[in-house]
Amino acid sequence: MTGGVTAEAAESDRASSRVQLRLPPEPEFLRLARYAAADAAARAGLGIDATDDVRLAVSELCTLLTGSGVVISLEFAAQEGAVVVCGDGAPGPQLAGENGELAQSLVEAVVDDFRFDVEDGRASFRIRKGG
Amino acid sequence: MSGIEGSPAFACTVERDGTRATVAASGEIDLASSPELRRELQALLDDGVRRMVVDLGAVTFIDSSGLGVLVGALKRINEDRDGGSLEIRGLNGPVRKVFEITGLHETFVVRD
Repeated sequence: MTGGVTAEAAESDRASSRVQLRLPPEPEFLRLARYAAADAAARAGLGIDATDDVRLAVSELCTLLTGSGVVISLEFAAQEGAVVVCGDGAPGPQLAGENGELAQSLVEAVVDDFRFDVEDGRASFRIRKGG
Repeated sequence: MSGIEGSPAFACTVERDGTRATVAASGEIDLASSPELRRELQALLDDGVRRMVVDLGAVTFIDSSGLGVLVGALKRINEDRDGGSLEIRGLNGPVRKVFEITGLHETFVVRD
């Protein structure tokens, strides 16, 4: 697996403020995921508390994909008053660990809509805050 | 670990007085930094600390891995059964919210 971070926002995505980010599945990149989450929340016009919720949710979900050896792909879509974040990767050791259930419980508590799926060695999630 | 301006990375300092210690953490506690916090707390317990205060007043983010470290330290203190204690101080903002969501603000002794 090669390292590196890529971020893209295509012209066609500007109207809906959609940003894609690809991260190495390593713990030191969780902070970057949180920065991107906070940025999306700010562009959506969410308040401080809601922004903190989005940061926490994205960080927890990316943590579950960390250590898998598979790049984590994130897509942040900011609309007026709402953020949708989709993530894709592979399940890491944290998912089955003692904090895995706690992580998902925290996410459920702080977002308005949450889905997490594991199938055929891949893991994906979608959260929505606001809207 | 260097920090990025406006959002410092994790750091912790320890003040020790015999079997008492105050661990003051700052920055963000996540999967990247929680192992360092765990090492610090476990090393103090290994070295005979029995009354521990963990000050989270300067912590701006904590996740489930950070909570797991604190719970692990509390479990060890309770299992040792020699009158030890672990107190949490400085809960505020998003860190307090995470404790309240999980109910851990009632598991730990929390002081303002």
